[in-house]
Amino acid sequence: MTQTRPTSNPILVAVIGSALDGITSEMGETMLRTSRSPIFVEARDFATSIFSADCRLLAQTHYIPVIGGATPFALRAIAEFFGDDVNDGDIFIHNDPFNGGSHLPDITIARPVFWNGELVFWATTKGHNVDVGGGGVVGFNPGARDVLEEGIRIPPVRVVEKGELRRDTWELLLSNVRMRALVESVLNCQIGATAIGERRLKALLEKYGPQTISDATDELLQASARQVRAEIAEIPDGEYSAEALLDNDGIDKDRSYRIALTIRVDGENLTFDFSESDEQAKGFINSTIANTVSSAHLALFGCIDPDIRYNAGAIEPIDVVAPAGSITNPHDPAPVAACTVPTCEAIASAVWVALSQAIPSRAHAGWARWCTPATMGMNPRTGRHFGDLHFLGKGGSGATEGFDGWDHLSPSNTLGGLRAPDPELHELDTPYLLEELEYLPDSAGGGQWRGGLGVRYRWRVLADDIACATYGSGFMPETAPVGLLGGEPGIVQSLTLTRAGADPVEIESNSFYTLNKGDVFEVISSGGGGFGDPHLRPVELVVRDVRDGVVSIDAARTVYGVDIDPDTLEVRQDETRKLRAAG
Amino acid sequence: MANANNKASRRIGIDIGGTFTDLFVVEGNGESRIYKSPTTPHDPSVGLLNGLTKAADSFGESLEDFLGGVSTIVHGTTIATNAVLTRQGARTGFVTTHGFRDLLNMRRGIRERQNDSKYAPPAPLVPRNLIATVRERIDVSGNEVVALHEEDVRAAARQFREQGVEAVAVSYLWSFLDPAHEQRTAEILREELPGVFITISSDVVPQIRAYERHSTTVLNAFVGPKLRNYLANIKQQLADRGFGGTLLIVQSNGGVMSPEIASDSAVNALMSGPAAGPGAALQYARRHGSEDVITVDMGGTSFDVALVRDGESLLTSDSEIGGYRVALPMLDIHTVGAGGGSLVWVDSGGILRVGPQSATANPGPACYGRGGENPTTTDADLLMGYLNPDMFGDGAFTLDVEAARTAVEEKVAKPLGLSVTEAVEGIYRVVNATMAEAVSAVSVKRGVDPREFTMVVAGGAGPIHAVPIAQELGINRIVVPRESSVFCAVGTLLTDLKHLYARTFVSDMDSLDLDRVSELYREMRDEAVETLRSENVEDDAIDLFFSADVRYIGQFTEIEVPVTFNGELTPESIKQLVSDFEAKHEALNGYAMPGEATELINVRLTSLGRTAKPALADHASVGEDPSAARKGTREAIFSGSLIQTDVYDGLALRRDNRILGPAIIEQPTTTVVLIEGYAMTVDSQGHYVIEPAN
Repeated sequence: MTQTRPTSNPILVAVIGSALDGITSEMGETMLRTSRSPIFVEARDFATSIFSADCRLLAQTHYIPVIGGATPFALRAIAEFFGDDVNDGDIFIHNDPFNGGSHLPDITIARPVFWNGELVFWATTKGHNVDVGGGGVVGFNPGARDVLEEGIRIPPVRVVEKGELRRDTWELLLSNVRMRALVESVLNCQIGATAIGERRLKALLEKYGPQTISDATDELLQASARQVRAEIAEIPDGEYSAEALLDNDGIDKDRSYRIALTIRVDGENLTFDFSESDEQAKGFINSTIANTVSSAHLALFGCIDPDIRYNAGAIEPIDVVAPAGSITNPHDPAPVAACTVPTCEAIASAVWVALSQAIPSRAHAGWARWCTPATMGMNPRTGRHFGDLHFLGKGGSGATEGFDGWDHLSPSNTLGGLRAPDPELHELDTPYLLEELEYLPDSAGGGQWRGGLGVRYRWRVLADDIACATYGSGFMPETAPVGLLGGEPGIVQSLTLTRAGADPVEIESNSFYTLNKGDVFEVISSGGGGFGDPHLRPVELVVRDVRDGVVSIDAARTVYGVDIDPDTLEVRQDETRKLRAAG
Repeated sequence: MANANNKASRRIGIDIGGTFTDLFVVEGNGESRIYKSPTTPHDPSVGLLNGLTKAADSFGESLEDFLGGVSTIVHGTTIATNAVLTRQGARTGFVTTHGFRDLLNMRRGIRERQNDSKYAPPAPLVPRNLIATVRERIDVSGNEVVALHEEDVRAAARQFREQGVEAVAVSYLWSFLDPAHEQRTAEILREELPGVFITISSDVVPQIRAYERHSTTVLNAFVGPKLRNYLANIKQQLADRGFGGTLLIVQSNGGVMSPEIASDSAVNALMSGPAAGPGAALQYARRHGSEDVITVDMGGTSFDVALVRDGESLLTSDSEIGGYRVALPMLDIHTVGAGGGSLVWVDSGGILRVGPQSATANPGPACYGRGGENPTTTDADLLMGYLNPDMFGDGAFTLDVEAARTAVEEKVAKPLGLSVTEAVEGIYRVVNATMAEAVSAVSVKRGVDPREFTMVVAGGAGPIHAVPIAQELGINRIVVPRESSVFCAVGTLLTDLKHLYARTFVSDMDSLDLDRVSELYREMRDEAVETLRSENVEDDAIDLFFSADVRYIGQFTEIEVPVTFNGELTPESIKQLVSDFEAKHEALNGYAMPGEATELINVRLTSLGRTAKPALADHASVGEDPSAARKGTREAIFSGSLIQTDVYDGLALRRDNRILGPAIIEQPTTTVVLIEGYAMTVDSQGHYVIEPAN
């Protein structure tokens, strides 16, 4: 282990580092405690951060990393727009995809923190708002041809000036959404969390003074940079290329889109080059630059030392090339709503496949792509509007060397941070009766380490006129979760709608539907991809999976080469030896 | 010889921990004694009886005479906790609603360490092949959508019989709105599976949130048979040796219960071990005028934090054990991985870190001299001069100073370019800052400002770090109980019988059905009174506290608010409830939204059966001068320099003795480090009170 001695007091560096981590975590707790949005409280779809005055990310708590990695772009957009015109007591809001944003629902709230009249820090929260208006369903509009059809676009805007709410601006924002009261409470909760951040930061400034803290944070960033450089140095120099597809863009259902990536490793530096990717799409799968960078980062940070702090230092050795006009960096005003989900997932998948060529033991096999729809409407039982992203349909994660994937853990843009809602609270909020939510046998890719399981998720609709937008990918063999090093892929996903009194019909993704009373909607989400040759999986684990009913007797034989007697569930040793010997 | 006046008035608190079984014996006249005996994990009753025999010997009595003089034994046990952590519970089957077989093991689909792709989820309490589903369904309004298919229950029973299941948990969707399906299922299972422990969610935790309810019910089944057998054994063993008094068990909520109740609601014993701590801490703090307490308990591998506010231990329904959720209110004890054994390391970026990994018992910290090469908090404490190498762990063995120095030098000082002295002082500071951060996070999460609290310190290593932690947090009073190391055993004698009841009833507050809610309260009240009577509590020793969980419509987090209930709810009591809710929301979250519609989620009842508490005797004052207890000096680091520091014998300190920092106070199992600027006074019962010197 090579180390360079930090120049300032190493003890203070450690103390201040843990304090900053603690502050972002308290900001997160505040959001969880006070929000009225299930997307924050139940699913934890947000990130809290602290930045230096010059917009370097110092500390972050992200349950959903794709939001975390995009936050620095949003803050820079705000800081650049307002320049010196930033006062103590101001609060800024932002979501513009073409100036530092990801997609419209991810709204950033930023609060400058002053000390003795000087700007010292920024405290920010960024999270998926339940409603941004527009023609979509909970922000997802598969028919949108530009960003303006997707909802309200917010450039850097000052909503609070020197402690005073700018009521006209506030009204302008809230007049452009449907669930006004809910959106207002969500924004208040975000603002409240930055107030907690400010309070704690000021206590820290009181104790150590700005200079000591600034020296310490410089050290922290350098330390993280050293750690990431050391990790990159362990990857053999070279170029590693991979592709991942998106099913379609919602406008042209017959063509899929391609993320093409080359990872270049040169000593301690790493470049993600997306130059060969397809041109931008007509529909909502385009990825803004903030989202492209964030997606590549989360895939990489999901493979290296998990103790490394994600901050401005950690990302210093990493470069991202994404040509303007491509699906990874579209021109204004392309539609982008789906970028944080299917496009992020495709980018992550390409990163892992590319890395599997260089450092196979660290790479993830494919995770289940997002496949459940967004729905919204009126619940006659409660008399209230609801918006639902159907997080209950989470699929499985990909296996890694040494470990099976985790069941019901997807999507990869959250790396397992997305919490499934409680089924009963879900029924309390929505006009839906759940009929099934269960692991789906044989949904995961086989392997020496198998993928995590996907689910079958089915509900009956109890009200009329519910807007439904399907979005996502993984509905064709080319986009099923990939297996690595001999591991098998996960299954192809599907959505089935059974209208009252009619036969079941498989429906398309990236489309609009209206759901009515008596309809039954079924989601099949896939398991993750497997890792390594399934014939190398220990026989007793295959038997365990068969006894648990998650691998069929047929799959045990055809995929794993393990012959099991259906009556006794005992292994037939001779036949198994033969099967495995045959390869 | 036993004093005749003490006959059957002796009380014993027992805490069976991982290493030691602690006994705290209080005589009728208020005099108390402490005993420690090694825990015998294979059968903890052996260690317990050894401890009792040791106590009887010291009184010069036979075990039978000694136990004959005992009126009450209160017992905290980690037997349930350990069964879960080691997955050594009953072979458990789980019955749930058809179509929802996996909610338990999905654990709501999260991975706690997101960026770490190299670890496995917690081992399931119930593997999938022991989970059976039954066709039945109640809906959101409590209506039966699918009738109970009894043949499915019988099929499950047959399967469980073949699989050798010892306990069965039943939890259906929405069962708390209509428990009939679960009740009938239990009847059938009892019929089909005689002798098997059966438990249903509508008895254990009749509340909304399916995974949390499933998990809690399954934990009850998983630990039930083991706890039941253990308690039956202890009762028998004690009775065989002449004990005719009352045996009580500490619950996770900080109260106590009878062994009979504990056998059925074993899940309430999951935190039985540490749960008596906060109540004990309150008693120490109360003597000094404080009702707001932070307890810190620092042992070998963990650092536990708990809060008492306005004289009440804070409870949480958010806890988890072994990766599975417990939705019943338990004492809100947060464990932070930074005990004495926490490893100190320099990460690949060159930053000093403490924990979360800790040295295992073997080889342990480097200073144990058993070949451990990695420095720990204990090694730094030793090199600071705070620990007496010859007096560690009751003098069980001598600490190896050179081994500690080598470890710190090689693993910390050299990589950071520091001297060993700079390194150990740095470690001490980082440990304290890490722990202060943890305490701060716990208190902010609960919406309290730690500066107004008294810190009560427990655990062998706690008092070494307590003063700087308190300083970091701005806390101005620290109490170190003389019995710091048997803290929980003391606490068991200070608790009341306590049972918590809850029913989910979701309704807009504006259209609340007062009759129905009153009925739920009456139902809980009757159950509570009946239970306490079965535990031999007189009616005039029963206190009932009614409350409700309220939130603004659309929120996902409820706040518990007291309710006035005298048999019938009135519109006035609801009005008061809403205004109390808003006041509490304001205090906790910094804002309220008066006029916004609210909704009721759960109704709750807490029942207390007051127990008689021992009155502890006061000591006589000997004045401020502590010199009689002064043992000498030793070199220790304070504020960056090595100085000759006064060392006192804690056992020789007496009431009103006052010591100014820097100083070190030693007891056989505890060391108190008093830094400069702080003064310590011995109170009337021999406890140490530390405050800023001016």
